[in-house]
Amino acid sequence: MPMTNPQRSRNDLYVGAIFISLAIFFGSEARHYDLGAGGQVGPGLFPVVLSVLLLGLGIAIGLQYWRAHSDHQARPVPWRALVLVCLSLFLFGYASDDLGLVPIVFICTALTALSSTQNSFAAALIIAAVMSLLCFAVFKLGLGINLPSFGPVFGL
Amino acid sequence: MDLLSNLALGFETAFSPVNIIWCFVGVLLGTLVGVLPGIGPTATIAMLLPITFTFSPVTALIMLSGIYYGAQYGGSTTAILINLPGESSSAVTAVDGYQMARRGRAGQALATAALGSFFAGSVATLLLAMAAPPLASVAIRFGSPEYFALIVVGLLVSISLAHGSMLKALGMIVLGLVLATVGQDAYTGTPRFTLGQLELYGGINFVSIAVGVFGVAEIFRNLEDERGREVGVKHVTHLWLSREEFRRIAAPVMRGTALGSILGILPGGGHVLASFASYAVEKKSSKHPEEFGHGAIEGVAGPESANNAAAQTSFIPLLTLGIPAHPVMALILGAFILQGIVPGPKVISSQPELFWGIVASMWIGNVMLVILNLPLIGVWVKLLSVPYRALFPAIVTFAAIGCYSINNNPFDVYAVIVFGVLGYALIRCGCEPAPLLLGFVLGGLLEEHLRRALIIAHGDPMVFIQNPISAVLLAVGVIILVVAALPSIRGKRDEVFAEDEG
Amino acid sequence: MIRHMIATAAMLAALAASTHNAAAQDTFPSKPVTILVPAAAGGPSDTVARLVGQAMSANLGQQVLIENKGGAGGSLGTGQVAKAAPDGYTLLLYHIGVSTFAALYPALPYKPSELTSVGLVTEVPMTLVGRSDLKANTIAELLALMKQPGTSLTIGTAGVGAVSHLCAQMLEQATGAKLTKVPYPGSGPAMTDLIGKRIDLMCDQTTNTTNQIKAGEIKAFGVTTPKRIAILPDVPTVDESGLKGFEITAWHAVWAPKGTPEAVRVRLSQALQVALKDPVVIERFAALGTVPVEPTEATPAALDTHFKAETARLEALLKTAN
Repeated sequence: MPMTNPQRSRNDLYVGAIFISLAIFFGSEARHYDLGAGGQVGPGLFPVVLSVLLLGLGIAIGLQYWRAHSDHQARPVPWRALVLVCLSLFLFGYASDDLGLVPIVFICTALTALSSTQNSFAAALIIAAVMSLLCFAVFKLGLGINLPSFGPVFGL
Repeated sequence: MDLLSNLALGFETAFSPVNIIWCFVGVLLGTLVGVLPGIGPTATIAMLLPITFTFSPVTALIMLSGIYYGAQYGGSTTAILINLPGESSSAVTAVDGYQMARRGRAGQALATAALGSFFAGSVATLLLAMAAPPLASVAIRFGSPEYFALIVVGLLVSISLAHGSMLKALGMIVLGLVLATVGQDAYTGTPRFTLGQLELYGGINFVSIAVGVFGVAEIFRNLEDERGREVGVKHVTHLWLSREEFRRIAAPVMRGTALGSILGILPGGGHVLASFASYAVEKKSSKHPEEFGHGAIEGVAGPESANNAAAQTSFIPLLTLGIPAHPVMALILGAFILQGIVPGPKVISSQPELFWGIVASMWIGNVMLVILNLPLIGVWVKLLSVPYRALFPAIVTFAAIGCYSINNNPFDVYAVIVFGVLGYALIRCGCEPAPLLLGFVLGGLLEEHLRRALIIAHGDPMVFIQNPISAVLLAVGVIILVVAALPSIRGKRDEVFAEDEG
Repeated sequence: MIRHMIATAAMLAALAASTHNAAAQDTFPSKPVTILVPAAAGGPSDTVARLVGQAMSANLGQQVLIENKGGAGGSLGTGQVAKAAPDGYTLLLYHIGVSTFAALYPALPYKPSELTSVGLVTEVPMTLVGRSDLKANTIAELLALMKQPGTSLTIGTAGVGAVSHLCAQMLEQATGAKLTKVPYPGSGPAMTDLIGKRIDLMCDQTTNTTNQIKAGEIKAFGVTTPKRIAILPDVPTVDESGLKGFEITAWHAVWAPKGTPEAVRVRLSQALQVALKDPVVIERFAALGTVPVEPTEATPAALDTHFKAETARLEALLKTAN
């Protein structure tokens, strides 16, 4: 990630932007909730006050870009890991009921393992196989988790 | 003396072969399952509850309690080794424990956690035996105004969790507080920020946030540049504490034990404050506050002791009043009822062997845990020699299973994605995850108690000042603010509020 | 003639159905049955489910697994059962709350008609209790106190939609007095405040109140059942103390997804009836402050009637309240 000004960290700008956008999201949504009256706090008061606070903090942090210096080194964003880990977590949530514990663990572990450049395809499969066995032993045999070992997709 | 004969009865019960075996099985299972990332004591006990059906009540409860405090030990192991706290208390341990592990001091961190927990567990159990009923009456005095004031103080004090930018730490706390408001409002039924998703009516799952911002975000950090630097945790040099380190942890362990024992008794949210408060106290009283956040052993010793002491004393409201202090206690209450016993004021007198048996077994269990855990440190540390490229897929998978198994709800796993990415983005930019979790945990309680206090007072805000305990606590809060503000007014730097970017 | 043909056809159809059902009945269950409890493990509903499930499994000759899926007051898990395969292997065990979901959650992901009845399990009595120093000892005195101008007694509830909340709502409606409802995340914390004398009243299941009543830490005004109950024989019913017709129980029942074969439901209902006679179940229910329902109630027909009546009554109650 190239930086236009090596003396300054854009981090403050980013954090400020994240806080401000979250504050706007929560604040605009919370406007519709009742603020409360007669000494009573309604469901809207807390979110509204907190959104305003977050907005203020976001602005203050963003402004630091122009005065604070930083020694943070920019390291590459692990895009491959971001995509693969998120995909494998999504698949776990989406398909674990249908596929069952063993297949979903195999798929998710293999996908996640591939997000490291140091894992070859074969290594990922080996890690996945070991994890499938381990999870079967720990969660199915040991803890009796509700997920079936092999899901209805396999017609068992 | 009454206490002695009661304890004799208790130990007689607890030392029966059946009970001692199941106590051991309980603490062993608790430790092992607590070690699994993303699986805290709640999930563990929920999954193992059916096993205890066929047991006698004493045996069942001895085993379930064993799982509970065993999982407390195990949970800190995961927090230290792979930065993955399974519940709010070990989130604090992760802060300095994981930094110690990264510096090759995992053994010392684990030993400190085990020894601190043992000391705290023993003292708190003794307290439970000697003074459960009078302590319970203290718990009863605490109403919503008192809790509100207590949590305000807790929040103010705990800003010291941050070791980097003060503004960013405040931002993370506020973000945590906002996230805590997601879900159906308990007072009016208004759905807040639910985006039309019924899954969000119950709010965001704590474990999803913790696993996301601690565990998954840390994995992304480690995968940033795999070739350029060493990934994961350094190999371990020593397993045991040096004489110097023993000296350093003695006072934090004792302070943590005292703090945790007191806060654990309060069923309305005291126990969650225990480890946060202890961390803040240690940082404040340390001669080297700058070490905190970078592997200070006191930052492990204090919170771990406080956490374990609170875990034991949180049995007090349950055993004496029938009031569960937190979800795990609610599960144990369920176990009592399954056994045909409704815990309450009469249990101590009507079922003495049950009450004293459990108390005695807690002490025995703590001894077993320390005997079990000290040799295990070597095993856990060996785990670190598993190459990181094989370890992190396992962490992600375990975490997914753990989150999923709490409610069998895919939504909790999706939440991990959101918080993993958000947490990574924020941490990459110099924010820290612990204040966010603190805000999330305390946010719900803060709003709950503020609003309830006002409802009960029919809308009169003076209730917070007229009530002596809450007035004193709020005054303490004001003093903390003033003291914190003074140095910056004078233009002096205060470590806690330092503006330097970590 | 035509009528005769129709009758014959109907008979044949019925015969075919019954043999088909008999076949289903012979083979059901051929694998473990899952009872889903849409609440956290360890809670009262979970406890009831685990006790009944264990007893049912002996009769069914198959394991009965309990699965917990909390969220949205129980409506999430309930929706999951409504959408499950209607083969009798996925059941729901939950309480009176199921009758209120349609009124409380506009975004409900299922229609109440997507559930079909198996049978009632138990009706846990409720108790109207007060702090120990409240200036009233009987329902009559309590009513007088509630109606004093300028007073608004506080009543703790376990949150919007909880049985304790419904009971508080009913009390307001029955007396015409204004109560300040104080929601808590569950009965436990509400009980703390009642023992600590920070709130005035509570109306909760016997499970949560009996021990405290017997220890004298709280005051019992009445039970909400038509008759007095065995574990609190001295406590009058609210009905007999002047609030005629005041009746609410935390009833629990078992449902199956709509379309579950009749014979399977009958088989499950039989297993339920046998389970409810199990001495262990009876003994543990007693500790919960309740008794199993009569066998005639543990049937699809009885639950149908009860569910319809309760839904109508509670929806009306919730509507007037908001």
